[in-house]
Amino acid sequence: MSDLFTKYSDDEIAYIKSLTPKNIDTLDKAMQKLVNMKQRIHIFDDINVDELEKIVENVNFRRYKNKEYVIREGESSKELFILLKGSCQVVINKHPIGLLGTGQVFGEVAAVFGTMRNASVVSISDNTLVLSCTLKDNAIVSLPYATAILYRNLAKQINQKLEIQNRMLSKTV
Amino acid sequence: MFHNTRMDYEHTNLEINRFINNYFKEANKVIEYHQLMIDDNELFRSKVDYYYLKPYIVSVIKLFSTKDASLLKGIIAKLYHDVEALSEYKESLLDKEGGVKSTFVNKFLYQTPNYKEFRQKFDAAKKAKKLNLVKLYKGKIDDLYMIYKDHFVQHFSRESSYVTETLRKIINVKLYYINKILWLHVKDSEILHKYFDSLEVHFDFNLKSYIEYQLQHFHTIQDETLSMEYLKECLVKIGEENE
Repeated sequence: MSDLFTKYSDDEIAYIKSLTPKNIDTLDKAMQKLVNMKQRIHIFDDINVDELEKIVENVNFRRYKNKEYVIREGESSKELFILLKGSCQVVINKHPIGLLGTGQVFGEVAAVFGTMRNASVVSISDNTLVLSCTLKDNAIVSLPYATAILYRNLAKQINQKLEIQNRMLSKTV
Repeated sequence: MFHNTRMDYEHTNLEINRFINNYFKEANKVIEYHQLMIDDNELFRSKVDYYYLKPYIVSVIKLFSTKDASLLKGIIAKLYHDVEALSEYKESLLDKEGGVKSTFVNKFLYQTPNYKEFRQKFDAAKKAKKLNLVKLYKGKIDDLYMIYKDHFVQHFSRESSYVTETLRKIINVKLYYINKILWLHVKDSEILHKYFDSLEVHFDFNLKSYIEYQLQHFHTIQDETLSMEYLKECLVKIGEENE
């Protein structure tokens, strides 16, 4: 495994970066991170990177301390979140119902449909890092096809959750 | 078996995510390390498929370094090592999985408490030829299989694609830098200039020009792994480079 972590000096890294083409557009760090993680985000399936850049905005890194709320149940915020580092707990009506780990996406239903948050998400680690973004209001006008795919992906995800829950329900003791 | 459907669903989700995170923990560490070095730059979206060009670039480096030993030193040597090590690692990940379904049954399901218990009871009942119990536990095993399977397969496949595709992009970026540094070195190398002069080889010192030269003099290529079709395809791919 040590073979995979070659050490480079600061000078070497600076030299390598100086070789980056000057004429390419550089996305800001947060947007670049979102683009790199696109494959992990179900609702962005079949949406290409150019379309993604046009339908999302306000892409930011956010840090939370232990017990800080990322989302509050009942609020009407519109961000979609990806947990990059740390852990969070999902709470409904003050009852913890699950945990979120690195790479998990949450808040997507409210982000797409503009509904109120149906659960709170609380940081349970000291240095929780999330990537957040919102969907552009006019996305459905400027990119109707990509937006339709977004809605389709979300519907698929919700349907899947329902299927699993139905299977479990049929096995309830 | 399930008492509170919403909580059991979240618990199932959590078990699957925990397993997948752990399974790909090492791979994600490797990715994070190399992404930091590359600074997540736009080259991740490079139009040129350097990964496809890798065998050719490696062949050129090997040939030139036999003439000029100073080529494969310093930064280019480190980048070259990274490309080979990451390529090998990426291939090993594909072998490791043994197929998603095999990983699902043999690694994931077997470590969930209920499944292991039911499996042991099923095997014991089968051995004792107690058909009622065999049917009962077979049913429970099948239920667990159905509940976890789709969710697991989807998440595992997604994470697996993310990991292998990101590794490919990292290798692609490093090959871009190798190619850049290679031709900067060639331009400054008197040893290589003498080598080209001795063969009366004339070309602009860049990858595209060298491929064009080699296509015109294909019979002189010593590396038998390079076919004309492959070189022609390389020329098409490098033609998209926006420099």
